[in-house]
Amino acid sequence: MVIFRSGGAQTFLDAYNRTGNATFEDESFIFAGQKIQEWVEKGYYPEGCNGINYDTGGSRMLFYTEQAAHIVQTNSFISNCKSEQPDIYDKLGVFNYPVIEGAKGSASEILGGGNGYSISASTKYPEESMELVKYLTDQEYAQDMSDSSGITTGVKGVVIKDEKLKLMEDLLVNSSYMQNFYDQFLPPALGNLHKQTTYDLFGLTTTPEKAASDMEALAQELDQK
Amino acid sequence: MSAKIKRIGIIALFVLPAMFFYGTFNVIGIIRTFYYSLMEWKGISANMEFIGLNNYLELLKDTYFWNSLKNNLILVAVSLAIQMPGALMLAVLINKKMKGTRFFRTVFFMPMLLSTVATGIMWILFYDPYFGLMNNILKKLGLKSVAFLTGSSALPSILFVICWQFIPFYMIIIKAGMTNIPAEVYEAAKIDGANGIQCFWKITLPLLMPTIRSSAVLQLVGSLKYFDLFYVMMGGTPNTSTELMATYMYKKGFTEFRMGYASSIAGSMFIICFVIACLFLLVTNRREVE
Repeated sequence: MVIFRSGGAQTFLDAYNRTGNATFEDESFIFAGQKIQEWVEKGYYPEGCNGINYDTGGSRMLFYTEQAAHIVQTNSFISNCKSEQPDIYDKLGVFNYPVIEGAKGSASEILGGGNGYSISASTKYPEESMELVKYLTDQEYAQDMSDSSGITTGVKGVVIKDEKLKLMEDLLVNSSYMQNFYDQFLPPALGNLHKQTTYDLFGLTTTPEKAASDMEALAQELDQK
Repeated sequence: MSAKIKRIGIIALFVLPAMFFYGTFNVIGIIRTFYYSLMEWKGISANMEFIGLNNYLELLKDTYFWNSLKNNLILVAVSLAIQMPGALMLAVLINKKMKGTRFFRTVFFMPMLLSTVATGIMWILFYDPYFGLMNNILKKLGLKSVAFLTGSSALPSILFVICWQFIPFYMIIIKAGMTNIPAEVYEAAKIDGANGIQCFWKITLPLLMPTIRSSAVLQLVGSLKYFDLFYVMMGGTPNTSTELMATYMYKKGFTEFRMGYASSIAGSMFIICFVIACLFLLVTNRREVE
């Protein structure tokens, strides 16, 4: 997100597409690394944050016990919070990631992921597959998914009953661009390296410059293949 | 038909079902692994390109692989240096004829009864820096809390859990070995004036050597191909200090979609385990003969 806000969506896309002279060593990537390490050293993140697991509830417990002031999460967290800790859910607020004044990124650029369905061209059952896809994308199913799991759907006519989820949908609908999560958007090897360098930056075991140069080196290697 | 041929035929008949499963899931699996390791293959597409030994050549230059092998060797060393003596000590304790040994045998064996996933998740919660049992104990003792599953402290933390889980298993194996030692040998030693410690070093330990040797081979091979707890406790966390060959193989195969390269890691693991296990058996066999 810090890369996004400092360099804007296009900086990352140019580095990914190897457009012109764009590289993963752009100043916005290094700036983001520096900011992360500055915040870690100032104690903004919980002790041992690199070892705290979201899936087993470590980070959520910090938020639910009000030891963490905010958590960078997707709309799935809203449903989790509602079912796991209703009293915190009542106090839960949602806001867009802050904008850096004077930087290239804007508030209308967001980060997120999406799911889609596809049918293989070689399937022996194209009609049945289409039936299934239609079932999975009909209004009744989509409404049920929205009500029970807080899933934002592209199906028309779905009424979002939760005001916090409505807020998140508005952010999505009004956005100018949505970037998929880097580790899923980048080629698998580069996505894994991104996770590695992020881990090392939070753990203060690498420098922003080295992290950026490692990413660029692998990007060039993959580009040549 | 001669009696010998008939006997061999009956033995083969009884062994056949087990050999069928072993052949299908082990032998054919190993052969196919080596076959895939000669390919560039995403694992999810039908396209496979024969690249010869290129995957192995890349592996030789892969610093992450050598790092993961180093972690496996650390696991081997810890298994042999801590699990074996720990299991031996507990086996000696529960073998004593005194009150409470049956209770303690059950209690000591309990970690082995839990599934690896349950153990892993339980210890993730125990190790939590804020809410975990371990840090709460440290705080009560006036000590600073520790981020157990972060950075360089992650490996010792997981090794502790592995020892906690597997010491009971080897304790039971060694206990079973101890029941085969005739009581008359100890009686004769006591008549000769031997005390408990002398009995242990001169009788128990030497006669347990075949059992200890078998357990050591299990620990050696198990440690070299270990995956479970590291994946459950650190899966997804790119901490190089807890990367093993098996977890690295999983990452390359299933998250980077390089099944050919992952197969070359698997093939290398097989060769490494085979060579080390054979060497170990050879060295310990010589010592036994001596």
